[in-house]
Amino acid sequence: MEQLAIILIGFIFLMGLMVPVLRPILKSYTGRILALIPFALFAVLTFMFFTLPDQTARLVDTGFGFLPEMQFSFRIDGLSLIFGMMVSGIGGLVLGYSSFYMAKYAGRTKFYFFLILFMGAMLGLVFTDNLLALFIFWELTSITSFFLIGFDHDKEKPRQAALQALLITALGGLCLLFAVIMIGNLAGTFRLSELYAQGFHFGAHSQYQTVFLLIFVAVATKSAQFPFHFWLPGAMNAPTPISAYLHSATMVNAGIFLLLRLNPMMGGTIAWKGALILTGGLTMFIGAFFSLGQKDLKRILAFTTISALGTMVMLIGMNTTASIKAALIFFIVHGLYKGGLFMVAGIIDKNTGTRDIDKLGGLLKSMPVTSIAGILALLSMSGLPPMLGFIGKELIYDAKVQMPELSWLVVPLGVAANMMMVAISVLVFYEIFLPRKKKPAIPLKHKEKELPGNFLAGPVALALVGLGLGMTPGWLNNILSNAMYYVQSQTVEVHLALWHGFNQVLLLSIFTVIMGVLIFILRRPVGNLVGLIIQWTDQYHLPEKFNNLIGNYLTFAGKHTNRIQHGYHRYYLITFFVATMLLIGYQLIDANGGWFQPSEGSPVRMHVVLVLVVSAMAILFAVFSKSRLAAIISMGVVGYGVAVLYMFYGAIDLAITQFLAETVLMVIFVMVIYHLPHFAVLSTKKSRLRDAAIAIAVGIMMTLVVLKARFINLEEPISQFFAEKSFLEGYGRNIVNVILVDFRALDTLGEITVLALAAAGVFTLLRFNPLNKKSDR
Amino acid sequence: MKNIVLERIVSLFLYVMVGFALFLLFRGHSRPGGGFIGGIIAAAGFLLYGIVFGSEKVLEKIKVDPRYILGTGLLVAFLAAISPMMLGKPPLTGMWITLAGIPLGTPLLFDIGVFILVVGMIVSIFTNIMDVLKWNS
Repeated sequence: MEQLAIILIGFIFLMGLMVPVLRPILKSYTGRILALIPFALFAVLTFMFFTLPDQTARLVDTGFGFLPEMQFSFRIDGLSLIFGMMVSGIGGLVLGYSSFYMAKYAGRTKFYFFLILFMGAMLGLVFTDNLLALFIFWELTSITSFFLIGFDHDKEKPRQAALQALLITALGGLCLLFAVIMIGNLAGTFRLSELYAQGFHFGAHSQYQTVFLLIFVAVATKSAQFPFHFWLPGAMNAPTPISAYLHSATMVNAGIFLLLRLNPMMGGTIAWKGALILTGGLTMFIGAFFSLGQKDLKRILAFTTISALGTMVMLIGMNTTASIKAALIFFIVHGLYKGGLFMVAGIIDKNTGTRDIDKLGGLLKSMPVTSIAGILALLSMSGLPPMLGFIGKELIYDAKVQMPELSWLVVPLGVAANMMMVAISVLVFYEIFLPRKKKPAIPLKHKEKELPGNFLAGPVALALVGLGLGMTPGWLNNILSNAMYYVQSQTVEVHLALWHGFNQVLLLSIFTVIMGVLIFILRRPVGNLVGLIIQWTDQYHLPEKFNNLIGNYLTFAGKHTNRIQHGYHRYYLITFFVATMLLIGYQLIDANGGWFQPSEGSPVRMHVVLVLVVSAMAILFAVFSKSRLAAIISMGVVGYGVAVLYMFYGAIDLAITQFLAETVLMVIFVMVIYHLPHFAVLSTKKSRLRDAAIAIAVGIMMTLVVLKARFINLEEPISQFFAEKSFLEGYGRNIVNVILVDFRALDTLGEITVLALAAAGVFTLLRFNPLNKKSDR
Repeated sequence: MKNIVLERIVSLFLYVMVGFALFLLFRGHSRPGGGFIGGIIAAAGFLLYGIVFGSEKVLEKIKVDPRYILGTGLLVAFLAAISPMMLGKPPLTGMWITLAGIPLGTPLLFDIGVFILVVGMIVSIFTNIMDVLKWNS
């Protein structure tokens, strides 16, 4: 069964890549048909959900990987099963949902392509057993989500939001890479299963602080924790199905998942508790608070997501059995209601044309099915029975109350955040769904009956699951205790129930609800207050600050790049030659050995001397010539002279090549030269002297290098090897050619690629004419 | 300026040069020669042809856009490079079979790729230059 699940994940990737081919065939059914794969995966996972025994993880080795340490091996345990079911289930619903939502959009191929790849990456992330593979999937989600958020790429805002999300999450991704490598080095393995089996925990190690900081940044950026939270509201510029998916089960929850995964190795230290509880608590509060001041339905939901993520981070930071249990349950709760609410928001947006809660009203009457699904989700969000949200919230309170040393901080923060959640739920319910006298009911574009089933199925299914799990939470016991075993590395029995008995926690809940309703009744003054505070914080508007930071960075980089890449060929050459000369000159002086041994000199041969003299004269002529053509031809003479020298010393292949290349070069030069203006003295005398000095110095250096090379043997020369193997293994007597096409074929491959690029460059240079785009050809 | 003797010689000479280039290509593994040298010689033949007849005649003669020749060469060399991977060997491993006493192998294919690429590159460059600078027209 587990193999089947992994194969299906691979299949999702394959389907994602195939979308450009499939969409013309499947037409408008693309979303619905592709949704079958995640649903199949969901079915497989559901089967495992019911059959997975306690304290076991199923491992699947694909035997495929980039490095021995980086194998794509997968593990299915309670934790990955919970996440995987949410990702695949909601993913299927979202695909079905987008089938209608995206029907009028251009670029649907791109949409499905990235959405399905994103889904695959997320599934890989939760099921992988290898930390390096986890990093790769993590980055894949960042990159695909960049394209999803920036789907409306012809508008400024989504583009900016996407870039922001990418930059921030990629920063986290880099941190994750470093952290993963450090963990792997400390533990000697990158496999989670081995790490778990060793009971590896390096909380006392001296490098723990560094690793934790890196992981913390990775999580905070991915899961939108304060102060990186600002990319998430921006990300709702994406089409609604994407928001629904990113916010509910994927992307932002990857950070939560990572924390849970690493908890056995890193959890429970002072740094872990302090940092996560503080950031989580702060994020939870800020998110809930800002959601009160918003008018856009999607924006409200985005801020409540931030709050929910803060809650989960805080719970994981507390690191008690109760808190981890609460975090897991809350992840399910949040995924269910947030996915549902976003889809409801999308339906409302499609059907009325607005998401402004001031304009919407009375939808309960005109869109009963959508409204009921939305109301159930809101119930879950505010943590009221009989939804699963109630159990989640009870567990959270339970965990907070049981935290002796910190309950004075976390309980008030949590209660305050929950009060605001209740208030915002009631507010949305009151403004959008209830029929009101003052507000006219908003006209619909379609009657609800006309909306296709797969459009409504998403929110309804999620609401029903939330309701069903709320009534019978016992189903989750097994899987939770399995997940807890791998998160806490100890056996935990889980018994969930809707009714916990009349206790402190229930009292807190009742208090929360009452206060929430109170805030709702006082919504005018509270709204004004929040508005004031938002205005005040807008001075420190983080997205803008971030954009400024990036903008300044780019200007800075541009300035300095201009200084280095000034575009003057002569200065490039000067830099290159001088630097080479200094480096090699230093090495030359540093190296041992003599320069020249008179005994080794062969007798002077007259024909060689003749060639050298002719070449030298040609060089002098080229330097002092007043005619360009003459200079070039004399350079050609030098080239031929060198070729003749090659021939004298037996390098026939080199000589032929030199002759031919020189000839072709001459012809092409002459062709071009013909069209250039006459020589003009463009350089001053001073710069000419400088150039001459550099040229002579480089020449001297080359001479010295050649002389010295005779006496430096850094490695055993390999010419003997080539000579021996050339015929035996390369089947050729021409060593030069065997080296070119066999021994050193990689070099040749690189060189011919450069040649091809050069030809392309020449073509573009000659043909590219920006002033006259429709040139004669 | 029309010079019938030169034209006749050059159009014959083109075949001689290309033939010689092919000869060098195939014998290159054991004696001086090889894909690169052969490629330059063949291209030089076309260059000569182009100087006498103009670049358009060269393009007519070879019938294919030289850019495609260039790409084909790169592709052939690349295929020769990766084909050992089909048999599970590292890329660029030389693989040989002996047909009628003549050993044939992927390095030869690679050399042919180099040959095609060099021809395509030089022809592409000089025809473009000639065309843009209105050489011979």
